Amino acid sequence: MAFPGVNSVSVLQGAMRTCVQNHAVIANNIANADTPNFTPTKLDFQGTLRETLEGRGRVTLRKTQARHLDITREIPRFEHIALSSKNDYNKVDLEQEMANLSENTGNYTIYGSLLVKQFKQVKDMLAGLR
Amino acid sequence: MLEAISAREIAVSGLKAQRTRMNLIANNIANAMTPTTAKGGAFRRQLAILSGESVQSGIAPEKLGVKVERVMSDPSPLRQVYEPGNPYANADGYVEYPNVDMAVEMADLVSAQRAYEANIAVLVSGRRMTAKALEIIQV
Amino acid sequence: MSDPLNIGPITGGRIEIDPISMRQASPSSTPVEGKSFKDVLADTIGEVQRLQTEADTTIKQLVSGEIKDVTEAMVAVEKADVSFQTMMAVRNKIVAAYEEIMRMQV
Repeated sequence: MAFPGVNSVSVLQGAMRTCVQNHAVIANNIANADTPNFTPTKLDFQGTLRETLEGRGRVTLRKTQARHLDITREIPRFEHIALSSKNDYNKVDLEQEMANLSENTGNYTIYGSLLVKQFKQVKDMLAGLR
Repeated sequence: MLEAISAREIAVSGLKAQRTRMNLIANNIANAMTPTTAKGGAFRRQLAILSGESVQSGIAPEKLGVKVERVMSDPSPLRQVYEPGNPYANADGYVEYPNVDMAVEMADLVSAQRAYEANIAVLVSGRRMTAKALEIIQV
Repeated sequence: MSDPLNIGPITGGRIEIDPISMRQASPSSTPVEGKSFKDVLADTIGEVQRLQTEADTTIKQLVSGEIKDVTEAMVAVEKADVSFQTMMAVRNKIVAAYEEIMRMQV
């Protein structure tokens, strides 16, 4: 049984906050799409959600597998920069990040709609009792 | 903890960096055949060195996003073209031309544009999320 | 269903109506235990509560990833909401009827 002892409003709120953090992680990956030797990170959604619901601020992450790069060079080899449309020198998969961005935004709006509904039900009940 | 504002600032830093890249590319293309510059010698292809950090737990928000660390000249060799009649030719009759390859510049331009649009998508999605959050307080 | 309201045969121009058996109207001939109004109300409230709990459960399952499809959560939430609103409407009608009766001059 998921989230025993927590009401659904808290769960939805925690999920939305986790989506906001995920948004920042994805934004960082996209901003660094052309940064040499950059390793994109992926937010562990369920882990971070649990941390949020238990009142801790930590973000749990999963680093993608670092490819073996010649990281002794400070400046990346110029052939790699020249072929930058293939993006050999870092691991950012722009299409994947765009997909993650779209999914994350979709989830946020779903949880948001459900949360709005929770509050609306309480407000309707109060209106009905007047 | 990463606040809501971070994604927007991160995306803006991405836009600025890609804009810089595009400006350098445009300048490279414009100067692709410039055999002499004020500093002496042919124009050299310029590129931006970007730097940025991966997200870690507890990282300071200012460190996120991307920065143009510096602009540097591509040290790869210049093109030597045999043109003995050219006033810029050296003793052996060769003129030095910039190490700008049009195909490479166009590929870089496409890459920069794609990345620029992706950063825009981050801003747009952030706006949609904020709009949804506003619904919570609506009647 | 030839005689659903248990009106009875038309005899000599008079129609016999038996109100008690009308309440128990059913196609079968076996008598049914009539539920008191209190029981019906309790059942309704119980059903509303059950649907609310189910909606909460599906929301949590959606967030935890146990359910992939958002449809289930949406439908469960709406079912709970509609049943609750129905109960509120019935409750309001009962209250209004009660107040009207109380207003009657004896």
